[in-house]
Amino acid sequence: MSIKISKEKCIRCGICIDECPTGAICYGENNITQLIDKDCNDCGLCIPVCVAEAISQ
Amino acid sequence: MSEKYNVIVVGAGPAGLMASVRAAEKGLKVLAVEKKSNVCEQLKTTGNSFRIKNPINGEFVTVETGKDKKARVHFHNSNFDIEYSGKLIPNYDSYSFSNSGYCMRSTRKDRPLTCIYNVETLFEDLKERAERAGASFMPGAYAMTAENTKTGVKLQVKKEGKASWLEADRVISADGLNSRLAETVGLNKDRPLMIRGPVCETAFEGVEFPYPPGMAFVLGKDMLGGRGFLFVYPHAAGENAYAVMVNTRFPATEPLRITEHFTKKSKFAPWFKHAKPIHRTATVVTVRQPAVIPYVGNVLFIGDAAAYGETLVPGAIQCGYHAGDAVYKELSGEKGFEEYKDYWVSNFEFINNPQKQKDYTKILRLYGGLPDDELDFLFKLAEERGTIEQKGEMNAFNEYSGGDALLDLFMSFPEVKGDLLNKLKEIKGADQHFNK
Repeated sequence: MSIKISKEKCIRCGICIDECPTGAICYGENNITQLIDKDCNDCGLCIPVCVAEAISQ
Repeated sequence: MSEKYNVIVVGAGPAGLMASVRAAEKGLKVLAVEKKSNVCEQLKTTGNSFRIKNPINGEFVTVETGKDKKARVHFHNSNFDIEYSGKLIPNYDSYSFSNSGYCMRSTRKDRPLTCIYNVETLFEDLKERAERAGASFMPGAYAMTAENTKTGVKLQVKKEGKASWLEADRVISADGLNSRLAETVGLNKDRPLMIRGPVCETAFEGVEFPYPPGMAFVLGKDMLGGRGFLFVYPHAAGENAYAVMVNTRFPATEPLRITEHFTKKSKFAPWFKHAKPIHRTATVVTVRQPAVIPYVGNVLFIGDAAAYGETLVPGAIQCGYHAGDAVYKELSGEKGFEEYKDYWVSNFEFINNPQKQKDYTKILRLYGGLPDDELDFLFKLAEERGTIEQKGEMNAFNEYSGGDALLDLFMSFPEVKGDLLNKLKEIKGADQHFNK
């Protein structure tokens, strides 16, 4: 999958988690955001809602 | 082997935590599921103050510090308490600044206007109380959807990509402003979307705020370097810590861009000369029409998940308390959800009340609608007249009543006339009858 979340830029607010239509983003250990590849449809809805510009395609 | 619970509470924010406390203390078997793995870490922008004796949503609170240094927050009309063990910062003042820096100040001498708390400590205190009462927590579990059955609910949760089903007699959905369950269970069916906008909050340590601590609201294109609402307020997580919170329009990068401009380039940048960022939170404010009937079968929606915008933290705690009672009544054969609905509709200001919704937007239309130079003119007149001292038993200034109070104040100045006066009258309400 081409969507990537930058660990350096991500502030872990979870806006992308709420926005993802398939729930493909979740919190892992220490509330680090993780993308679950198998559930990602590559729609890119997560990208424009990120306040920290941490998501890219 | 699957456990069955009396109630599963979705979301461990203030509403869900209080619901877990109340339901567990009433003797129910409670599971709280929360998508964060560290449950009490604050990642979403959340209110951090208790407004003292300020009636809103049919309730008001008082805060007392006990002998053991713990604070007791008393919800007067619902008649319950919560305990808070963390840092408390009383604010006796509040401020609004226009674009050129004119300041409208409000103060109170006999008691604080608000008390600032540490959000994570508040959450931890509530979680510990829920656990002491027997509630279990399932962290890292994201509730995706729910299915009503004849006697209960099946709830699907996802943990690191793996979905599984939990069972309960009832579900309390307290998953917030952008509730997943409100979408998937159908609560949002008749709830048109009104507006959305990104919010980002940055807490800084070492801020030199040149006034007694209090919430400051800052306006203007030169102050912000853009359009939006900016707040500066004391933050309980550091020394001389203040948060800068920006609520604005998309693109989502705007709040941080405005924060940079405000803290580095604006007239108030000197406050931040030696400041260091220590914490950042964000959210997207999603305002839908409220859910008048806040339940779908055996799933009850509380707090922001069902609200017109937000219930605020005290409102969320109120919801949680009454929701715990509602589930207890349901399991005793009474119509607990219907009683909850009656409480929700009669107390929360924006339900079933188009005038209240209009009142809520008056401040937005005043501060977002008038040009910066006109707001400078009004604020300068207010500043010249001196600090407003609040004296009544109740503080009546909040989002719902504030618009009218401000408009009345500005319209009372004899210097305000002509076009400007007409604009203010129009905002106050063309369909309202009044004399000037």
